[in-house]
Amino acid sequence: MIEIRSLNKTYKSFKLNNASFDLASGKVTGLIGVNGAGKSTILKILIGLVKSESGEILIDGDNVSDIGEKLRVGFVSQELNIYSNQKMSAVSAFVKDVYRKEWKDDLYRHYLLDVFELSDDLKIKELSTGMRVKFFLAMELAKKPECLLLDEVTSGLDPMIRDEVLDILLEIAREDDIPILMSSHITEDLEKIADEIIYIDSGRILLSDSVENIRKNYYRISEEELNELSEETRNVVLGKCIKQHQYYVYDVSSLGGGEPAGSPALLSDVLSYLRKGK
Amino acid sequence: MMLSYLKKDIRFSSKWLMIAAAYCLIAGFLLVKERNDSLFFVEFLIPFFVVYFPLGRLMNLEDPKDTRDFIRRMPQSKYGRAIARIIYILSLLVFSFAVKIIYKYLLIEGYDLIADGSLEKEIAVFLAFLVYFLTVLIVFYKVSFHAAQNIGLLLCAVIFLIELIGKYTKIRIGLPAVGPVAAIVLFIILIAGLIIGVLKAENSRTK
Repeated sequence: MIEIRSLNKTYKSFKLNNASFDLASGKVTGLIGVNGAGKSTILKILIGLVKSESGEILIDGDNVSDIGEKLRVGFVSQELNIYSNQKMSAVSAFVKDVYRKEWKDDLYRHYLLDVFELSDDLKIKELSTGMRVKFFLAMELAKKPECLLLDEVTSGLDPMIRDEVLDILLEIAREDDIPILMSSHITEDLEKIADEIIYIDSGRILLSDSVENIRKNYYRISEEELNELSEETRNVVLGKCIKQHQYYVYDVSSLGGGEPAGSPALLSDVLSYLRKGK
Repeated sequence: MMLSYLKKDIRFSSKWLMIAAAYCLIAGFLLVKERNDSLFFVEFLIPFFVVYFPLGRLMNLEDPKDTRDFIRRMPQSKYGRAIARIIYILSLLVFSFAVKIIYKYLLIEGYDLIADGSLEKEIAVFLAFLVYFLTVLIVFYKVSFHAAQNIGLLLCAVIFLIELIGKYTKIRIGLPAVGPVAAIVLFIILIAGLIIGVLKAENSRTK
């Protein structure tokens, strides 16, 4: 279990404010928020690229400066302008050389050739965004990571490949029993694979809960369904809801334990609800 | 681990290493042969470009933030990456000086490295280049490749200015009181400080 407690970091125009959450083995945690919300800052603190001003990272109770101090971390970000003039084979040979003990060549070949269907004779600059993500992901997976951190890796992928990558990540989390923290602003991706959701807005975590709980706690209701409710219930819902497209999104707890009406809200609805401060 | 980084530097700049070697052998020969009573261009142009071609290429390749972050995340023995880069520079400098000295022996009548104080001069020039390239490395690690490049331009401008002033006026800019041996001692002290600077600059980039 990785526990992150009260991370703070201040930049000129941004402040990460007491970020706290847990990463459990075998689970995918989705870190979601708009661009500039603080997702990348959190990930960079966790891998040691940025130093937090205060806060703790605990791995099985031990305080560490970054996750890599105790666990083998795999990290892929959307920023993949790395050794762009070099061939993939040269870059992978370098990474293999540096991670000599951890590197599993058969795994690398498996992911690169069989799963992602890439050959490594191209230059990095010749790869599309999706191909770059696959290549760097294959290299990270070849290290048999004990924790995987992903920063917006699905953003530049087309839907078919995105689903493929998501399936692979889910499989890795479950089979290798490792925690995966995946930042994204695509709610559909996280709805597909995340067990836990952390929603961050302007450096502040507004929600940190399991997807199951979120589905239980937030509902969406259509105009027609709303009209079928008793006047008292309708007034409660309308007093605590936001209008999201054709639906009203509300927090089930506002009903005071009554049976919720409508259907579980989509993640994007919940985030809008939280963002609008209801 | 340090060797992995050195291997990477050699592999990623292999094409430029070959160009530098070819330049060193051809330009070295031509510049020594056509020296016209002045070895200034031999002393300056050979080591400078032999190191700068491949080193500049590497710095350019590793300058993007993504690449810097990618390297920073990699494990290393303490100071391994910086030491590997210093060894890379030293090797290129040694190669360029070796070629330069061999050409001088072959093409300059009566040239003797040991007898006429040339050795001290060679060492002083070698150390001066080392000071320059270590400074470039610190600026690259601390700021960027472009800033490091400007140090080169600045130095080139200063050297040419000193040459021009020396040629067309009676003003002589230099350190006449400092002989080669004193210069060597000064350079060694300076280099020790710069090496510490390089190690620290490479190692303290987490913000």
